[in-house]
Amino acid sequence: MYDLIIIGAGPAGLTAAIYAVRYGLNTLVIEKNVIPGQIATVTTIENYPGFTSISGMELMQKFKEHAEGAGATIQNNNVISVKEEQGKKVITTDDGGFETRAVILATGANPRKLGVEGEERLLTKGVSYCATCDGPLYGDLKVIVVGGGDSAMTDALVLSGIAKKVYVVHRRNELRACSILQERVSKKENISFIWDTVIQEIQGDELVEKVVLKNLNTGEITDMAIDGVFIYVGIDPNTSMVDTNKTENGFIVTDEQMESSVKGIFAAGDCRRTSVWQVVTAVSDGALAAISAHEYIISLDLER
Amino acid sequence: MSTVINLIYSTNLYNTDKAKGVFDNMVKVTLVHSEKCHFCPTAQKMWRELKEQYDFEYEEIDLDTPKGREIAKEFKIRSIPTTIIDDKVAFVGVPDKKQASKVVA
Ligand SMILES: Cc1cc2nc3c(=O)[nH]c(=O)nc-3n(C[C@H](O)[C@H](O)[C@H](O)COP(=O)(O)OP(=O)(O)OC[C@H]3O[C@@H](n4cnc5c(N)ncnc54)[C@H](O)[C@@H]3O)c2cc1C
Repeated sequence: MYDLIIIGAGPAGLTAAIYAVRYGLNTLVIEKNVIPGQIATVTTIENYPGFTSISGMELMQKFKEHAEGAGATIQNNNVISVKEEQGKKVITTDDGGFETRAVILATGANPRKLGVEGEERLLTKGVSYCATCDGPLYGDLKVIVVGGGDSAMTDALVLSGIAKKVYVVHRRNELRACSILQERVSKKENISFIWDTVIQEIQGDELVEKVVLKNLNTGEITDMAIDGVFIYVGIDPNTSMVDTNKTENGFIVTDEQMESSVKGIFAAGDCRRTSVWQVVTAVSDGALAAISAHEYIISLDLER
Repeated sequence: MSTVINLIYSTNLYNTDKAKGVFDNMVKVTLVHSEKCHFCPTAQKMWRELKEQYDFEYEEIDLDTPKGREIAKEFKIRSIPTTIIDDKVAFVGVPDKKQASKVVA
C-alpha cells in the first residue's frame, strides 16, 4: 500500500510529489497524458517567478525533471474513481487498482464550453480551445476569440501572429485581462474587438463557416463569416472521479490545509475551490497539500 | 466533467468496426502531429505501442514540414493530433485505445 497517491502531474501534483518524496512518503503520481499540465498548452508564460518568459511545455518539462530527480515515480494511467474503504483509499484506473493511505487530487481543469449550438458538432473542425496547438492550422484565415480574460488575450496574441484577422468577441465592454496584455492586444493591427456581444450559434457544413452574433445592448442579431472559433470562457474541474463536497461547478471544497470533506483526501490547484487559477497558486497548493497529507499519515500511525 | 478533454480531443470520425473487412491490405495509419501540441506525444505513444503489437503501416508527419502542411490542407485538418487511416480522417485528438486497436488488430 502506498502512503500517498497524487492524481495529476500538472504544477500542483508535481510540487506535491517533490514535497512528499522529501518527507519520505512512499508516493505514486498517476497522470494520463505524456505531457501533463494545462500550462503545456500555452505558448509563453511570463508570471511564474524565476522565468522571465518560458514556454508552457518547457516549464512543465522542468517541473517533471525536478520531481523525477527528487525521486518521484510518475505512472501513465487514467484514474476512474477514488473511494474510501475502511480507512484506506482505493483508486481505480484503466489498468487496475491501487491502495493508499492518503490521496491528493491535482487533476486540474479543462476549458469550459460555450454551450451553443454547433460547438460540439464542429469541435476540431474550426472550434478549438487551444491556440498554441491548433493555431498553426489557421494561417491566412479569420478567427474569433471568445472571452476577455488573461487566457483569451494570451491566445489572441498567439493567433494574431498566424491568422489574417482576429476578432475578440466579449460579452462586456471591457476586458478582465491584466493591463500588460490589454496593452499588447490593443497594439496589434489585426486584432479587433466586438463588445457587448455573444455567439449564439456556430454554423458550418464540414468546417466552421460562420457564427450568429447577438449584441446584448441592442438585441441585434448578425451573421459573420469566420474560419475558426477559439473559446476561453473559464474552466471546468476534473473531479467526477471523487465524491467529496464540491461547489456547484464541481470544484472541490477544502479547508486551508487543502483537506476535502473526506479525511485523507486532499485537493490542490485548479480542481479546488479557490479565487485564482494560476501556476504559482497551484504549486503553493501542492506544497501545502503534501505537508498536510504527511501530517495525516503520521496521525494514522499514532492512532495505531 | 472529467472527460471533457477526452471528448473534445478524441472525436472518432470513422466506423472502426468496418475498417478491417473493407481493407484487406495492410492498414495504413498516418499521425499528423506537431512539436507545439501537448496532446501529440500521448497519441504518438499509443500508436507506437500498438505498432509493437500489431502489423500495420505507420507514419508520423510533422505539421511544420511542407508535407505536413500539404496533408493538413488536403484533409482540411483544423486540430491536431489527427490520425488518418488509409485515406480518411479517423481520429482527432488522442484516440481511444480500444477503438484504435480495433482498426489495426
Ligand atoms: C490558455 C491558458 C493560458 C494560461 N496562462 C497562464 C499564465 O500565463 N500563467 C499562469 O500562471 N497560469 C496560466 N494558466 C493557468 C494554468 O495553466 C493552470 O492554473 C495550472 O496549469 C493549474 O495546474 P494544476 O496542476 O492544478 O492542473 P493542470 O495543469 O490542469 O494539471 C492537471 C493534470 O491532471 C491530469 N489528470 C486529470 N484527470 C486525470 C485522471 N482522471 N487521471 C489521471 N490524470 C488526470 C491532467 O492530464 C493534467 O495533466 C493558463 C491556462 C490556460 C488554459
